Amino acid sequence: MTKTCLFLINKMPESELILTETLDALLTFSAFDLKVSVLLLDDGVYLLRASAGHATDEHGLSRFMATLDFYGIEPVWAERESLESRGFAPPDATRRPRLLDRRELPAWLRQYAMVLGL
Amino acid sequence: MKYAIQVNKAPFDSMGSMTAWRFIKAARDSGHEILRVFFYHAGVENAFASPSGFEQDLPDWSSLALNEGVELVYCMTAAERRGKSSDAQLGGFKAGGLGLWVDACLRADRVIVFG
Repeated sequence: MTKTCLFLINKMPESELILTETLDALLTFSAFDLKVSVLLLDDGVYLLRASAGHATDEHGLSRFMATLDFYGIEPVWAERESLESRGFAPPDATRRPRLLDRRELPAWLRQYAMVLGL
Repeated sequence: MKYAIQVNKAPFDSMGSMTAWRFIKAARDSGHEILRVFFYHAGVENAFASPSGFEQDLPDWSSLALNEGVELVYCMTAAERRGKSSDAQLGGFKAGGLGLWVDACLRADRVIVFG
């Protein structure tokens, strides 16, 4: 039976290097026939859009999301409240994630055998 | 219970590394098994000597490996990206790849990431 693995990203990677390594980990888990999903929470939702003044540039961010697309790592989930409290709604995002409400999260997380953070 | 542990922070810029080390000691004292400790991101710094001035109160990973048989693997690629060579690694550490981390996760009852 395929194990399920969730990468929970709740902050912006501190650098391009961390972003690249996060992608490496995602792709490696996928290569082992694990069902991999991504959840963007808190400041992790900035991965959907470049944040001015952050060490991670826009090119790196779009490459990150494009690579997830290319290798079929989906779905990408985002917490609705994290998006709204940071002033951007899903239609503004370069890639529209599936949305979860905060109150749904605890029960939703239980479906995953593994939840890995940065 | 079998644990796979990931450490993502350098020992000299966060308490995450020390917290991981203490957790491992406590878990083993309670009869749990540590399948593997994997050092990723800046956590690979744990496998190398810290800059001078930071020697105090650092986790003694080498002792954990050499005296207690805990397997310590650091990501070779992450280390190379930070200018580290395996020639300079501390005793008890092994260089490896993400595949070893996935392998530990698949065999573990619990996976814990210390960031």
